[in-house]
Amino acid sequence: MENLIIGKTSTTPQINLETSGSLLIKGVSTPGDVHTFFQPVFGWLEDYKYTKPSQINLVLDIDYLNTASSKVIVQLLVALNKIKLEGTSVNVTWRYDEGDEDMLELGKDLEFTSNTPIVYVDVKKN
Amino acid sequence: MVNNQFVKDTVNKALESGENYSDVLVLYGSMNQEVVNASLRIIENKLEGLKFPKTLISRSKLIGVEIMENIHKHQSRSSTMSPYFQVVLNNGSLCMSSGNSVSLDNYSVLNEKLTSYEGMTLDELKELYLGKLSNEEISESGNAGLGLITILNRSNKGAKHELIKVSESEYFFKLEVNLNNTVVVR
Repeated sequence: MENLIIGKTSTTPQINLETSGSLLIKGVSTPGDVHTFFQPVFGWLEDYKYTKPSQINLVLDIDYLNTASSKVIVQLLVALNKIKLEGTSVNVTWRYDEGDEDMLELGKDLEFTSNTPIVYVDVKKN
Repeated sequence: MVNNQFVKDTVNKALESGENYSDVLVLYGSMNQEVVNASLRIIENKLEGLKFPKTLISRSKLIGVEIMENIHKHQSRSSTMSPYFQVVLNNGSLCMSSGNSVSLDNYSVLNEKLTSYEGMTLDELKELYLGKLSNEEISESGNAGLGLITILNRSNKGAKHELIKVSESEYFFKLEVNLNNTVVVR
């Protein structure tokens, strides 16, 4: 199985899904067709779970996103929750800019909705 | 050539709104995803230069993306009236105004939703938002059904609208969202 790397564009985030269990979604997420853009991510994760990984660390470092992307991230977190039930240790980190209460609140909304624990890390961006 | 009286009125209102007025952005015409994101970058850069709090810059982007995507997705394709999106600063407040034509069918749906959402408290809106975030499917066209709720919720209900009949088959939807330059911890 290979890593899945998708470079960022002005409307889509950087995606790094590594077989080491290190997953990253970083940047702006407003794809015109959210289904098509994220389909490879779900496909990769579906294949990856059969390798019985011991640990998955997902970092969400989102600049901003549209509501369709928010829903997809909830679906992604729910999918990770299912993998967790099969014995994989799953850690999700939400990185947001220091003092950015709106992005912190958004992360908490995703955590509440997906019922997936998230660790919040405030960083000084730029 | 601007042939839409609604955008002329909106721009003129901003120009006449006081000595502290300063422009950020006016878009007139069709929008696509690249235009949406380029516009948000301009807004971000301007607000960073003005030392707006990070959280308000994010709020303006999260609301702005929904306003412009709504225009992009729901603008009546047969209309001769082009849509617009304007962002201005006025007395320390950020005001986003938009307008787009809607067909008669879309008018009924939009009017029903707005009437329902505007009658809700912020807590009720938040509960509805969280429910839709987890339960409703994303349509084939990428519509999550959360745009208006997000705009109202994130602006602390600082949004007002008008739906103006322009012909037997067309309405014009005007939206104004005000974001005060104060951080409200919710």
